[in-house]
Amino acid sequence: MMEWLQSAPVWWANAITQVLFVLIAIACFAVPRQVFMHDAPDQSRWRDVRLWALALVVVQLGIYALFS
Amino acid sequence: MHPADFAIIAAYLAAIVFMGFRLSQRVHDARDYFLAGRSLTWGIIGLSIIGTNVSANGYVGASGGAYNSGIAQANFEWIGAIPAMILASLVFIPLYWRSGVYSIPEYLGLRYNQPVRVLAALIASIFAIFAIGISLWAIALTLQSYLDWPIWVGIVVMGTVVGLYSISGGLAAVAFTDALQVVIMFLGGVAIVALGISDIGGFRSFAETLIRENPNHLHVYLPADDENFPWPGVILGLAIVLSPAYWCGGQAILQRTLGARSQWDASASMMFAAFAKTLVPLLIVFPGLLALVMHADIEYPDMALPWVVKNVLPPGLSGLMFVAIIAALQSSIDSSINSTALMITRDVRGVIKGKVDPVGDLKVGRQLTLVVLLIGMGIAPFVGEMGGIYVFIQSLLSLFQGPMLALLVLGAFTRHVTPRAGLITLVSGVALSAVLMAAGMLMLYVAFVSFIYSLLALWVVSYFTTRLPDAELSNLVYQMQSAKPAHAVDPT
Repeated sequence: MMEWLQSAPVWWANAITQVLFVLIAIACFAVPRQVFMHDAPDQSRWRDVRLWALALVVVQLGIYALFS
Repeated sequence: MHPADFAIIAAYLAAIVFMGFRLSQRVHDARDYFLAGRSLTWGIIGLSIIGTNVSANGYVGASGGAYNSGIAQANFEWIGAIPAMILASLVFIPLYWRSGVYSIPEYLGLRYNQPVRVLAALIASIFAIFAIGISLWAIALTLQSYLDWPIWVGIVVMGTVVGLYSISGGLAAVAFTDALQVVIMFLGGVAIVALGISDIGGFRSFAETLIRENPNHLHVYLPADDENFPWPGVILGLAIVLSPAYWCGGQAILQRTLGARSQWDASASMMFAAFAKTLVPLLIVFPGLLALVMHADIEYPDMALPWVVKNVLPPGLSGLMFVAIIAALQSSIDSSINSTALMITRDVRGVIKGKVDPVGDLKVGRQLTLVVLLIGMGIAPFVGEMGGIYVFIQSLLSLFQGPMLALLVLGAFTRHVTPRAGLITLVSGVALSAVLMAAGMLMLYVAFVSFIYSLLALWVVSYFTTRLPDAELSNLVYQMQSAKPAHAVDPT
């Protein structure tokens, strides 16, 4: 098992990372808005932290594509 | 050291002590002391999270790691943090916040049973006390190298400064001083980036030299047989186990989110911290690359950051950077003593005594904060002589992370797992990790294997034991969150 792991090519890591971040972005929107917005000071769109997560994922996808 | 450097250091120390005393006027009971009266806003909490996260190892060690391995070191700030921070923000923080707990062990106590709570609190507290000693030793070492202070003087002076604002002002003082410390860290980091690139002749020159002389240093993943950062270990061990265990279950990190003025502030603070975390490699990885490109004359990699501070920054700014390193260490110590005092006060003493007393707990909490700090100060002078023990203790903490994460994940997402299965899994999972580590397996893989074992054990043993009734699981399981947070009716 360990020997097989140690022979795995690096491009797998980059591919797994990109897929992982895309899945995270999709999963974020499975969380109902009301879970974290019910006591927000107002219901402005910018307060939707799922959009913050989406921005973070886009930045990470860019970073890992740049340094792959 | 230039007089301007001394002026900056003195002004910084005076400012944080003053801030602690001002905030102490707001502290009337244990809720004010440990959770800042649930008054903190998302920006302050987010900065404070980063302050707590960037420690001695983070600052000095990561620069050395980047000097050695390149940008792969930044995985600890990116894939080794961001996914887990998003998970914490959207799932775990709302759950903790709504259940009205003061600590993660308290959540485990409600979700499983009191033995799990006490065991988790004790393990976390013991390791935190050693971590405080190590940070104090590192801070004293930094003071010795810059100011020629004897080690014991550095420990006493810094222990006193941290104690003054932490014991008087509690979590509010810790969070506000952390925020100030992070601003200073970023100012120092930006100064290094700007002046370093300018010295080399611009960013193009920096990048071309780095690519020409060290082409592998710009690859974020290293081969699977690399001895330090093999990519399967980074993804399986760091991203899937150690990072979520730290960001979704670390008391020192999450305590300030439980002190938020609203659940939205708590969730937003972690997302804000994740944006800041994305930029942290500029502070702690870039100096290592800069030292490499500038052909620094250093004996070992951990000297990369001190070399850059000494050779790149002018007087005044080097004092600021010195303050930034001190601030990074202080913000880890103050968070650790506050969270450790909380766990001993409520999760150990409170369970043994069987009652909660908000006013009495404030007095005990302050006394315990002092005791924890004094023990840390007592350990600090001996840390230099026990380098092997330090590594051993850090490894032991990692033994705990796989089982702990399994308890949190299955506890938060399913009603199926039972109190008895939780205790059996915690004990057997830690034992399995110890066996695997003794057999010589890399820590990153030990974390992953122990996590998978713990998931399976928790699930299977739960079939043969009795689960909690649904009424007791309300607000403790993701699918069973109610609109009304538990602490809205909790008198404590």
